[in-house]
Amino acid sequence: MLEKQPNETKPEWTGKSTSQQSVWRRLLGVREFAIMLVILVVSVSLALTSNAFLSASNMSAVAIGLVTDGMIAIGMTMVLITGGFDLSVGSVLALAGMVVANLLHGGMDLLPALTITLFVAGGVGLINGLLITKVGVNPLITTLGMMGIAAGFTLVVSGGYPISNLAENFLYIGQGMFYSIPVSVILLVVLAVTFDILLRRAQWLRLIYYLGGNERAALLSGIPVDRIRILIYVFCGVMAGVAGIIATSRLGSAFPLAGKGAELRVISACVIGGCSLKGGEGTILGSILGVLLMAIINNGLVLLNVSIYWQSIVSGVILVAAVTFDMLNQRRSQL
Amino acid sequence: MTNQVNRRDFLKALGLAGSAAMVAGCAPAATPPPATQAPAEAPAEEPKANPNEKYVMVSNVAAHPYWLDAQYGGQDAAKQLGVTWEYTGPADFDTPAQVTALEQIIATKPAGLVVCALQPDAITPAIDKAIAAGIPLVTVDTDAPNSARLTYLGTENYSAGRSMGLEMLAVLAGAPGKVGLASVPGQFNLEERIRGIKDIFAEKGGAEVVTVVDDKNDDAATADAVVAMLQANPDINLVGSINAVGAGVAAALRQTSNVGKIKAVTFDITEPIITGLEDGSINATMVQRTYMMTYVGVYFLYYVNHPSDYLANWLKNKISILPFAVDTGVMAIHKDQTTAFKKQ
Repeated sequence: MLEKQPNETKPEWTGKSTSQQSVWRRLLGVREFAIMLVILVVSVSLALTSNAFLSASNMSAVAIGLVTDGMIAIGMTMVLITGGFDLSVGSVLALAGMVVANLLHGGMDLLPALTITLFVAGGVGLINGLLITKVGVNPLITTLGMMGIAAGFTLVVSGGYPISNLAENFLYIGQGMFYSIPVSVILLVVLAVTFDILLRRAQWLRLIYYLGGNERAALLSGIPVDRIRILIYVFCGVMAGVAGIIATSRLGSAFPLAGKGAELRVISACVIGGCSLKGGEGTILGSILGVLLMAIINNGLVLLNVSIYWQSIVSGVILVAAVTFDMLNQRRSQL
Repeated sequence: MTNQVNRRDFLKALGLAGSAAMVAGCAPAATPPPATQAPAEAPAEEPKANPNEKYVMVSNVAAHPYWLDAQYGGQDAAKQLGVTWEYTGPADFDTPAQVTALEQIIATKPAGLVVCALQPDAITPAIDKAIAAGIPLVTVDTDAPNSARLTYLGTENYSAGRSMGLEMLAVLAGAPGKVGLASVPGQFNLEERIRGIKDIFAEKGGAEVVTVVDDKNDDAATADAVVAMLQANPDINLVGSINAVGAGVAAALRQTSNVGKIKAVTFDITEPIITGLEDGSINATMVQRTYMMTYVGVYFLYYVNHPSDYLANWLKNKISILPFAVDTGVMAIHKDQTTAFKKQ
């Protein structure tokens, strides 16, 4: 019988089962932990190279800046898990901002204005969901089309003009502080934690993983695939609406071009956080960490005065790297 | 499996590429080398750039070529004063990102800030935060008049419109003017320029604005809109573009074989507009003194940081030492002056 020589080179794939792998290896396999590690490394490097990084005002600016992307990410995660796409979120953000600003300007009270706005945002999601499930249009094309329609509506409603002079109680949402923590950040944390727990524990919500993993099997096991999918798109629209309300409140004005580019940023963040473009994977915690990582990297680019011409290269490279890493990870685990 | 990239190699390559990119990106931008890079022979009037005195511009649509002159102005002023100039902001039109960038820069406590308030209401709170933190701040190009900014340097749009109206009358040289305009309806600064043009026409007589078409801030859309406008209004003998889409106007005149027959006065100066001036499709263009907005802006900020004893006394008594606003104005540029704007 051949015995293993002591200095025989080991192949990369050790072939050990999960329980035999070291704790470290197992932890790294948990996507959220890996990202937290990357965030830690990036943060430490930034803290060493820029003395403004750890200041309270900078941290506050970073946190407030990522809230809208974070809100959208909560909805986008669910859409990605079902194997879908929603490119309309940026336009829904702008539309929601215009709607709420117009309603408040017209004298409506805060709560009815917010409710109607969320209904409108959810309505766009409903149209997305219906087109995708009942008519069968591909999610990419559907949401791409809605992106244009919603953006156009926003321009029509606004006439191209921003709207300002909004009520004090509305401004509190985006600009208020609760014991020196921004209110919008608290809102994000509450919503993210709630939906993350629901997604991990609530059986009725965990069904969405089956849609992304193997839709045919889900259909055959009696899961109401179409209904769930529509609900998820409505939810994504509503979250984009929440983001629009917060964005408008933070800046004190609604402007028609708000939210441009949000969809690609958020999808990048979700993929970095563990969502697969094929569906069936991802957690809200991971996506939020992805948003956080991107926000910290952007912060670094600003603090280190990296030329603005390089900034989009950096973002593009990060996205490609994250998706490649995701693919290589998947390939590895398929062996 | 062995001939495909495995994870470890990928991560290694990524780490190397990432570090290389960061180093490259942090290098000074590719413009005339700052004085600090010339060893011992730095000229006497240009002291070494002080890295502890940073003047930062937070722009919007930062990658637009319109801001190149603003960057040159800030860089040159900083070079002469021996301070450091930095330029940042979202590459595209992204006001939340501009506000976020401004707040993050405030945390680095720069010596002064230059901000273009393209959406004044949205950025006013962040501007006020900077002033409250003791950082002198000026606005350029577009003002946030309700903010606590120390001064504004930019084009006073109504006066610019009047100057443009006068230039149009000069170009018409006495012929009764039927003027068609290309603009972005509803954009405030452009509406102000149009108001100036109309008022001059009303005061001096000799011309009237027949129609205004939407150019969507895009040269191709401008060309289409102007061609349609000329079809609908054959009596138009002068076309004006109120924003920087003069290339579209020139294209429309060439396309309809109207070069020389219909006059054109445009706004701002870009390569295609220079070409238009040279080949005669554009008669004159109104150019903003964008370079001066930041050149003088940085000097103003420097004065606040290094006041004479007299001014220090004013500052101590909380008196503003800077003018409320500076109208950097517009200049009418013709074919014979285009060399001033060509890249060396």
